[in-house]
Amino acid sequence: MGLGRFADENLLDGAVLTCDGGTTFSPSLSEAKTMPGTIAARSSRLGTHDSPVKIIVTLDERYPCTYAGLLYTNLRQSANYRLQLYADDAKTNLLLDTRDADTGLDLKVVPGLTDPVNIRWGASNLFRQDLSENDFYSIPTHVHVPFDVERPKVAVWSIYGSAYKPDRTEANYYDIGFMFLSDSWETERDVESEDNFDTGDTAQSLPGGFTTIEPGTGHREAAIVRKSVARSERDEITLMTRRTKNDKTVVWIPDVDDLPACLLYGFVGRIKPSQNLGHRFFSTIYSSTTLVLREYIA
Amino acid sequence: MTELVRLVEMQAYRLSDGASVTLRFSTKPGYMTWDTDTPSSTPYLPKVSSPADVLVSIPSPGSREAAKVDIGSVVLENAFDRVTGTRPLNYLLTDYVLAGGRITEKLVYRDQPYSTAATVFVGTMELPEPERGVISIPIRDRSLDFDIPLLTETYTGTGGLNGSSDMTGKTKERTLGWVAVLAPTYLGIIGGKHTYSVNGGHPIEDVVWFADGASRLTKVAGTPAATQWSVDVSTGVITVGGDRPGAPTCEVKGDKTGGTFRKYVGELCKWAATSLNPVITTGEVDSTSVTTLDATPRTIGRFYPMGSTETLRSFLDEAVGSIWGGYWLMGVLGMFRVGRVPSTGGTVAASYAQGTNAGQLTPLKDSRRLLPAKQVIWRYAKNYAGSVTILTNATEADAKRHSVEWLEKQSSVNTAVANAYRNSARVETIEGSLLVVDTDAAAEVALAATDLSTVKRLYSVTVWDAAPSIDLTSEIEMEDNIAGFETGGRLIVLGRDISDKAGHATLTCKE
Repeated sequence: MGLGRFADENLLDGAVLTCDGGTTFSPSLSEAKTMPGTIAARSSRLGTHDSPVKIIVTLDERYPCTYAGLLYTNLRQSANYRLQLYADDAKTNLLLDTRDADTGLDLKVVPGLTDPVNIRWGASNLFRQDLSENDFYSIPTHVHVPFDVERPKVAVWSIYGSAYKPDRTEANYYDIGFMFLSDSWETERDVESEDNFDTGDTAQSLPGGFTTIEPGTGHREAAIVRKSVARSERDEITLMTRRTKNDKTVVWIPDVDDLPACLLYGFVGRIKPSQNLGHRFFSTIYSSTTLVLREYIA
Repeated sequence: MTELVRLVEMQAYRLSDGASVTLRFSTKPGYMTWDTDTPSSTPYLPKVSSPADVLVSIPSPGSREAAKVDIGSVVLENAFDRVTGTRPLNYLLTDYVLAGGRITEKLVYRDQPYSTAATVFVGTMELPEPERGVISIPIRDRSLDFDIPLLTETYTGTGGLNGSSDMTGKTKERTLGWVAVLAPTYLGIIGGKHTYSVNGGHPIEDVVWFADGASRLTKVAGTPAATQWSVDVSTGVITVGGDRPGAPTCEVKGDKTGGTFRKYVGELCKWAATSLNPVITTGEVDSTSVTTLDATPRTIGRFYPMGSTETLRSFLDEAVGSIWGGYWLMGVLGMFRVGRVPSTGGTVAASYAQGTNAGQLTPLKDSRRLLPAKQVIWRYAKNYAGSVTILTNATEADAKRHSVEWLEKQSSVNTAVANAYRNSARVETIEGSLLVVDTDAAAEVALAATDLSTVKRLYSVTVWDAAPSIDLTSEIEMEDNIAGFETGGRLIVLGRDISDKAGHATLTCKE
């Protein structure tokens, strides 16, 4: 059970985004620097194993980072990705490579996730043990890559495999809605933390006891409860909430060791308004705090 | 992902270079066109917090109101973005002019391509009203574009066919359709003969008769002598031999611009809007509605004397108001349409029942107009000449025609209504119809008498399926436990809103 990560201060804002030769993006990659996730940078081609679509993020300095994300994409579960971090612009000093050290294989967008006990024989997710079709398309397709602290100058994303259009047919382009690269606050979640889901449906009650439901867009929510923090961590939380307040976009993933859980329970969000961003002291040294995040789609 | 997204496209005028640019926004959570669409891979920024609420309605027959399209405002959010340090939509106010531009709103499912988007309405933007965090853009429908003068040509007053000096700057007279009696404009003595104009120099079909003091003169083909007159149909100019008539009147089959004598309601409305003082193009006219209306041809005539300042809208209102239940509408889809409000008894487009797929049927209050009429009097064929001194050698028929302003057709008294409603049974007089043919007026008065012989209330109902196939003049069946609808009653839709308020639509209907 790993720690969760709360990533803010997206370094993409000041970074230069380029792509490899042979691919152009229209709308351009600058759309991937900003929310909303529905407005995406669209590539001109799909990638293949020998010629993946590469997105190169060049920072102006080497910053410490612990999280990178490729968010609001249209990649299928079986598509592959790779993240490589370099310490220099010439891309000679490799710091991190997400490929498996032994086999050299790339990660799939949805790694094996479902407990075999829950898979029916003949179901669409039987072979790869990932999500069933309807479930996968009901959540935004995010690629979360948390890692131990590195100081990259250049980050290279390589993507290959199939992608989908909004009606789930084959697409011949990749959509990248939003990208993230930053340091993050690592934390565990104590008792009384919550993972919520706001359906967004509007219910109207009618005479006779009937109800009509107008479906809406669902938003995930997470409550991060820290029952007892000491001074240094309290400072970190205070500075972080001062930076983000309610409008800045942050990424939350619940468990760095469990990437499937990050897809289901992690999200791109903002600190939910109308809550008290404070600390409650229960001793002279220790305080407790609760941070509630809400998913931000547009 | 099967939610509906509303797309808003604005034609903006870029101040830097005068280019017309399409700005694209949508409601949350946003939309991007597919690579196979036109335009391809184009984002629609999700900045619309509130799309415009549109309500379109046509008047109940006999109510003499105008058709209406009410549109509210489109509200865009403009919150401060700390990442860029700006408000993202400030450029709308500083770099572009939105007022006067076309705005188009479409509906599309999030998981479908842009080619499937359905246009909901087309309107015109007004000046944006910015607040700190939102920009509110009022929208108006295009029917306000019709408040322009109908006639624009004026007499220069330089003599001859350009009129005498006291006519300088006055609009030229015009005869549209077939007018029973009018007093032509005197141009002066041209070529030694007294000369009159009936259509501002434009071609006409014919002048049927010309009279002085209701006493008809003789029509000749060549140069007229005393007691004779001739007409040049290519210019609508009448030449009279002999002395100047004291009280000239004539019957004119009027405007024949482009070689077509237009006299039916539909074709005259279409021509007035597209050619006379054009405000729309022929591509923006629903031609099917015109041909359907003129399938039951009704001849109308309207004479505009010299110096008329009426608007195009007033002519259209009079033209469609000349028949029972007529209406014109610059529709929400930017299409000009004419037609008649039908009576119930046709094909039902949709059936609703209270509590199943619709809310409650609510009667609207308008009691004065509801009382049935036991008799209808239809006034038509206006005499535009006013009162003239009738000469002794005028025929009886001519004298009679010149002594009244309107002809009348009366329906027979409906004894059932008279007996049932007793002292409250009224006699309805329809004024201002432009009809000229007796049989047409007789047919229309019969229609009106039938329609007005029963109570026709107005109702409002909110249906829960967004009424997808229901347009104005559609017929629906409604079941509710109020009087007359216990086993289902028929209604004609006169108005509806279009805003997708939780999938419901509000319809205004009449029985």
